[in-house]
Amino acid sequence: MTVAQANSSTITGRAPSIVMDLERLGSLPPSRLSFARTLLRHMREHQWTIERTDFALDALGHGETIYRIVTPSSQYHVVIFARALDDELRSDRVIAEAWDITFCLVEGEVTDDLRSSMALNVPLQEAGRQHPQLLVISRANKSVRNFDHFIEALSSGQQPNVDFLKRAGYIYRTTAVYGNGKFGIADYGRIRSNPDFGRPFSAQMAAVYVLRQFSIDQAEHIARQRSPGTAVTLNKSIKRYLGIGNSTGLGMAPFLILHPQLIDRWLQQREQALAYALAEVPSEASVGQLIHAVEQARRYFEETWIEDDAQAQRNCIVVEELGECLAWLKEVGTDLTDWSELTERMSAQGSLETQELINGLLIDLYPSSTRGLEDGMAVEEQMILSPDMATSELITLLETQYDWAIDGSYEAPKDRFWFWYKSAEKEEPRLGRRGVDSGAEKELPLAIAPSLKQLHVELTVFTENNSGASVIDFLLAKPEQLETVRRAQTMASTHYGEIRGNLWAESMKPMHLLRAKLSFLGANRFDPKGDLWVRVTFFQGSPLIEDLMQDADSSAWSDHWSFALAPPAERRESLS
Amino acid sequence: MKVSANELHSKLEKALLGLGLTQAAAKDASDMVCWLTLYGFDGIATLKTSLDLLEHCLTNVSAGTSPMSALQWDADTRTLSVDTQGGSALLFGNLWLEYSKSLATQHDEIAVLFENCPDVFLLMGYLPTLQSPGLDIDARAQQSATSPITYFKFRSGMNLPDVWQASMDSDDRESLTVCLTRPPTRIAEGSRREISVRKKAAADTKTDGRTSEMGITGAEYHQTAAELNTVYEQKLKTGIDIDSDLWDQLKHYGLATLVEADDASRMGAGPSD
Repeated sequence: MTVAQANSSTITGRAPSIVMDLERLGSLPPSRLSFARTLLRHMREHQWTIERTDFALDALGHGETIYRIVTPSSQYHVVIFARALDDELRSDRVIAEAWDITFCLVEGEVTDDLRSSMALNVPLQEAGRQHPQLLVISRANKSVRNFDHFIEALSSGQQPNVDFLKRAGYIYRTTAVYGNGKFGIADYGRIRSNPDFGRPFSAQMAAVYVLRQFSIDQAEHIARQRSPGTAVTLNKSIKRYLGIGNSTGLGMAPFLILHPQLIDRWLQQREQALAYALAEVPSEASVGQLIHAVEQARRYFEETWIEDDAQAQRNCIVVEELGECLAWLKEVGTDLTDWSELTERMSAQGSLETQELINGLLIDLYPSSTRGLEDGMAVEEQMILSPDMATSELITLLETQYDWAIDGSYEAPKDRFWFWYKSAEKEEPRLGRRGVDSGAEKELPLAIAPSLKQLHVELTVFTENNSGASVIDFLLAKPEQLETVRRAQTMASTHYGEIRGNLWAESMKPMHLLRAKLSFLGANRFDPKGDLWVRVTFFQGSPLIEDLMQDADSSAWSDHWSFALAPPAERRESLS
Repeated sequence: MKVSANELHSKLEKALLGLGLTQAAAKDASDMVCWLTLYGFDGIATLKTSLDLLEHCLTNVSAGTSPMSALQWDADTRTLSVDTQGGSALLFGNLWLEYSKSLATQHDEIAVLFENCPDVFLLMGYLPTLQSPGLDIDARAQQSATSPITYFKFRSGMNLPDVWQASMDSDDRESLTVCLTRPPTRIAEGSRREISVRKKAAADTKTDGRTSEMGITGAEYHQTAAELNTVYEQKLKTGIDIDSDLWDQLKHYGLATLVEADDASRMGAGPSD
């Protein structure tokens, strides 16, 4: 579907001024449309099989492992290299040069030549020259505390204490998951029409999902090697509660600014799904389902331990507000005739996090309403210039569609505090303080709002002196404005592409940008480390590979796993 | 060495920004090179020419050369002449072609002649962006004096052109000529003026109001849109060949966009874990 086709459909979502508020975007939880969840549904519906085909690890868990993914149309392999890493080299920063694990998702067969090439290059990550048969490359580091505890427990015949997973829901966390042609791997264009990985980020999510299985297999292997007589396997409930972590920094932030048409689509689909849900009439059953979902989410936030004080405080507020929501839902019960009574109540009384959490749970109540939407998350992006538009018309367009930007103030020091740039160190995106840090002359043009205001100023002056002029006349005089002009013209026909915020402002929190994207990927358990990077968890509580392949009526499969609860203590399961 | 299209685009865009192009010019130039390369045209060879030109005209770029200075519009013949006087087409080529599109909207049919522009072939890669419903585009250009002449024929609504290539027996290099025409449903057939692609020996073309004889000899090579797509798929599968010296050159130019790191700047990405 093209952008124009999508935008020709009726949008019944909330106003862009609400949806595109930066703080609200930074409060989004994962939802039914998140890519991790849609991937698992797709895997199950299309009966993918995943099996481990090679497992050449030494007693310490170092070596190579390969998993084969077979889909109805093709096959892929996830190849994982586990190597010894000195503790002092273990870093989540993009500037790191070595990791506990490096891995990749390969299209097709892994030949001996390819395997040799991967063994040389995948562990080098950015410094390697990767093969075009690779769809994804990534790396992960241990959560040393959790890893050591798991090995210790399993090798001594005990199940790990799940409290460790309440603090960090994984034993490995990825630090970057690269797709789309990075360092020589396959371009996204290669898989755009692929029935398996055509959805955005589905290849990346698949690689991470298989890594989660590896983390289980490797831990059990090391325990078995350490104490063959006493080691036990992980209980299945703990396996499901074990996710894969991710550490994300500013590198993710520019994506949201540089792909406004894609962001528009993601939010449009989410708003459409919410609108579908709100159009449904609450029933005794659906109210009961929502009460159950809210109770689970409240318990999830209660038992999730977050290191960051501010986020922990926000989570406490969510718990409190969900409690009030529960009380209200139970009180009104079947008297509730319209879901908007609930959402309006939450808008009036709840924090942004609670509001968006409730919205996500409402979408989850009506699975069929998102069926068509999850296949529409991709878009062909192109900014189109309309050279014949009169400059007076463009001025009007700016004043009506971008009033939030051109009415803003960008002159005071607090309003132009930050500048974004790329460091010579691995081209890591960083924030500098204008007037304090060096590099402002090499600023990345990510602050769209000030750019729009500058365009408005220059366009107004030009039009005063050139009555009847067109946009191309303006651009021939001001060629440096081309990028802003065509973005303004193109995005004017969309609803949710532009983030309503000043990315220069001292009060701007990059964390909101990171969380917005991470929520669409399917991350949960947001644990910010300051304002500039965050640790999250993927797939915690999700079905295991073996659950995907269960019969349709098996209770092992569940699509409702976003807010995973710690399993109760279970009896030991022997390896033998 | 092999690189992906996204890698080439990203590296090239940074290099061109480093050389002083505007954000849009750098992005569009990268689009052009990647489009040509992915569909089997040697955009990378011409890129080398562009880099040499841009490197030697840095002062012009930073001095804010006006895109208007290269343009001359002849309303009688509806011909736009673009004379870059030896400068690179990547500086303002996107704007010149957008201007041409605007003129075609006003005048139904126009011709654009590029002169004295060594890397003008790359602008063939902007034509897919220019293409839009209600506009036919015919273009011909020669990458170098020894290259075959290449014709693109976009018809309204087509994402990809029909392509012809034929050898030339002239020592003079054919620069870029573009005809933009509103389709016959919108203007009278009798008033149309189109660059026709001749299958054999010679073609008469009316471009700048004169009639020029252009000898075309040798076997013609025709590619349909479907065949172009096959080339595209193959390029995506195997990656793009680029010589490592050029790659290093791009990296070098791109350094100008990066900020040197120190302990303070490392804090600009957050505290260490």
